[in-house]
Amino acid sequence: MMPRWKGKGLQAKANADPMSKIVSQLQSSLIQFETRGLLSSCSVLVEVDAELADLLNRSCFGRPRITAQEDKQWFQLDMEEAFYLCFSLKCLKVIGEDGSIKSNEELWDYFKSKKLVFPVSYKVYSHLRHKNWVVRSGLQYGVDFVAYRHHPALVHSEYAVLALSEGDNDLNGRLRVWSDVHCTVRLCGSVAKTLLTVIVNSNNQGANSPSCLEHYTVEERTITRWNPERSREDQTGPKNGTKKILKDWCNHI
Amino acid sequence: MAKLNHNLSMAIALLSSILIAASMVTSEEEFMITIPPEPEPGFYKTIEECIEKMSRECGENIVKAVLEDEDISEQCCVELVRGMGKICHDDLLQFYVSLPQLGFNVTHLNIRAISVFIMGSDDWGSCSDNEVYLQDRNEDDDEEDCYSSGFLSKLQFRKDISKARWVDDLAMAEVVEKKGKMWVTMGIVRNGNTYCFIEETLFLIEIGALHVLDGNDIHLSLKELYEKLSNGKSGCYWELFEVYKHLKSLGYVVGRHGIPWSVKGQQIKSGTCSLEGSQESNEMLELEPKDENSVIELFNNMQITDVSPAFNVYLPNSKFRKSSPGDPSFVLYISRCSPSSRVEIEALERKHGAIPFKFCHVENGRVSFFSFAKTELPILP
Repeated sequence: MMPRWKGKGLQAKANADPMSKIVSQLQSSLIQFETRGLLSSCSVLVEVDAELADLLNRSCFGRPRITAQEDKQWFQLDMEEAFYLCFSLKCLKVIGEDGSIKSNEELWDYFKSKKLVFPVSYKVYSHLRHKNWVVRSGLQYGVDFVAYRHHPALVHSEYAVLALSEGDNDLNGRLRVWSDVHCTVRLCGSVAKTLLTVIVNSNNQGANSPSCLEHYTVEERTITRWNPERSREDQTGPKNGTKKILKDWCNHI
Repeated sequence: MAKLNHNLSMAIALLSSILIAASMVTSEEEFMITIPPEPEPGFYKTIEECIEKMSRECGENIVKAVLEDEDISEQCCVELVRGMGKICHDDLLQFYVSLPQLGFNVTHLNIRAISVFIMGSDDWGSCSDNEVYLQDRNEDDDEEDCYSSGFLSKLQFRKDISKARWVDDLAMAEVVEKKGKMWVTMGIVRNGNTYCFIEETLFLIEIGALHVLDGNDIHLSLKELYEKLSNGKSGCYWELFEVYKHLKSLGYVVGRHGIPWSVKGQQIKSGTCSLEGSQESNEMLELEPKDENSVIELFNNMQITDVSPAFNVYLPNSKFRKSSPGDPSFVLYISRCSPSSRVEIEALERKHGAIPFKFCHVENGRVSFFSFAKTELPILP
């Protein structure tokens, strides 16, 4: 599936403003302001000024919270987003309920306690983010994430992503039966996205600390439905190819 | 004879005017197009209701597209896909084909053309491929799928019926009299003789293109052949047959995986059919040098238990030759239980190399095809 830009000139706009640059600007700004996040159950809250708010919006990290507060803005980060900023980009520190800064190991353990599959889910999130794709929650589509080539305002997301773990069917249990495959593929199709499974292999490294992550391997696979009625000719478009198929078929019977 | 009403007679007049224009019937015969009795009560009422859903212009446009290779206008595509719908479309085509005069006067080539449209609905396909209807496509597909292949069994081909004799030992039909060009893509050739597997035999009988006799030259009924399919000795089972028929009806060339299409100077072996893999393909494997690694690899490949390679599928291609079929467009695996794991899929990728493969899932008469393709998202700027 080709990327579907939301308007003319938006692709050019995206090309002029690469995501990698926006993210690195975000990174340096967060470091500069020594931003601290507040851990609250499964979210991390950050209070930022206008410049940082703009960077967070443009790089698609977190959701802004509308409050009456005028000078600063609050953002709410998901676990994967927060951990990416802390662990991968090293630009955010998170404060726990006791007021002290959580180390990466502590955050890792904490997030794992909230979400059993956090290691797998995080590996997929960071894998795609590292390639400069924008990754957001895919919950409303029945998947883990949706991946965009750039900011969602500019382009529709092409991929609906499922983070699967190799062989650990207990943990994940998706796509185990055919009706799951039918369901997910159909859903993705009806929202014009391709189903992408990103399969994480822990290589028996376990998940005791975030340093295990670098030994995980990742494989991407798309699951698509093939429609035999449509694919009968090689190159020609449907209208021209129709006649050729007709003639070919007639010659055979 | 059914009572002619306004709509039906209009439909006939429309068809005959086009046929005359295409020189398929003479103008005297126009008035002799009689309507046969309804295949089912209420069928003609349905047809009348269907005809009302489309303007006369578009009706003409589409019938011309079917019979004369013309393009369907965008407006008429809208009327066809949105206004009329697939069920009406298929019903109307069935009606036209059932008109007895068409069986006799329309040339050999054209009745096949019409039947392709019933089975494959190319005009439907090319209309609904239009992006505008992208959203509707999935809905239409799933509901109407089950209707389109049902009409196949109502077709009777009056001429060109081939004959074959069922050989119990082989669990195959030996073709005795060939009619029609379908034999270019069906049946396997051994020592100059052509043999059909049960799925090919059943397919041809269902479309009325084959008569099968037993060892005593007594005609075998469709029922007896369904029984042969069920007894498990012919290397096939119901779901495999459903897949075979689905793809064949759409014009694909389908052959059993591992069975060569044509072998000269070699008699057919019993056991060619067996589900576990043909003797012939096993013999061919033995010709390759055996060292420990390749034996282990062979064994590893065989441990894929849930899926077995069923068919080699080729795109509809008038250049298909059994003597040199080339690589299939893809190998088809029929999955019976659950979707394959990544490990299994990787093993299959190693086994087939450059040739793609797809999985087919058959349940409740529904045949669905899936590809599990490796990919790598690009690193973006």
